[in-house]
Amino acid sequence: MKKLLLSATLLLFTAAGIFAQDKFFTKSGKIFFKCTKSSIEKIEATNKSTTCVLDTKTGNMQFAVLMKGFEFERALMQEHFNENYVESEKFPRGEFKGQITNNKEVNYSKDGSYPLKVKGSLTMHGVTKDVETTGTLTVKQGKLSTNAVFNIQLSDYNISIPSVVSDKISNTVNISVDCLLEPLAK
Amino acid sequence: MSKKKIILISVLIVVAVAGLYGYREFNRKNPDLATIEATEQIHSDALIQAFKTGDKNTATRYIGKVVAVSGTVKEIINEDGVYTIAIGNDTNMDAVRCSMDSLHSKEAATLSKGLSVTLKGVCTGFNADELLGSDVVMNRCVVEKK
Repeated sequence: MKKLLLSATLLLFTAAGIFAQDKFFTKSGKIFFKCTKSSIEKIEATNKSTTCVLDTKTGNMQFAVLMKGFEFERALMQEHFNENYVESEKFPRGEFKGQITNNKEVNYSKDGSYPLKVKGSLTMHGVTKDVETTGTLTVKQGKLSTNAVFNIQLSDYNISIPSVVSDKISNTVNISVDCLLEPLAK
Repeated sequence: MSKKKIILISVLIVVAVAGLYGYREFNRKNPDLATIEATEQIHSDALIQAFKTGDKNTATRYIGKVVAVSGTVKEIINEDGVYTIAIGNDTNMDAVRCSMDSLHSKEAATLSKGLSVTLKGVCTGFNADELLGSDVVMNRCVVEKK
């Protein structure tokens, strides 16, 4: 009886392990953005604490980022970003929920680099908009790294640029996402 | 000295001071937190719990502030020299996740799992997540004590 219980427990844990292996995640993903218009002044920032979860079975993926976590080279720029543009007190998080539309073309059990097509919705500054982009997923020794670059328009998210700085800040923001994902069950 | 000259010199001084202030303010960098005193000192478990209770005052008290958090190192992530140190306890997946200041990567590299530390950083917020565990996130962290 004891042996039976032990076997059943082992089976349960193995099954849970296999199930969990479908999901990969990181809490230290990197998001870099730039919206520089003039060559004199660089307007760019990095967030190194992005959460990303990918379900390899369904291709569902989700990113979450705390807006206050974006670091600029200049402190004043960072303050203006939080207070005047993204209003991070009122809208503390940015979030992407979407899906890898060509998930069947990715062999997660074989090392290699695979092109991705991603479609989903990006929520920022209280506004949700559809986003579509391409990227790359690399499988290497059981870990996945994802990379995607895409553009959004600030005006789509109700973020306006004052005319005084319109020659410096571009309405088009170039966003790049880099995440090294590990299996959820360790 | 004539009255006109005094006024002119005064205006020039004001303009020069304002210009210098503007220039310095424009180029101001985020300060190295090793040189800044923390406004709050708290244990990692207490900080996570404070955010989990959902008290509105918690955000006001900690977010955007320099906080010194003590606790046990539960995870060290090193991605090409970019360190994130998670402190908390192993009984759950919750943690205070400290993204280390790249200027202080050498100190971060000396930390090991299970070590009692105090890390100081700017609290950027709270991520509640049932699947992955809830995290208080800190930026530009430095090692205060180990």
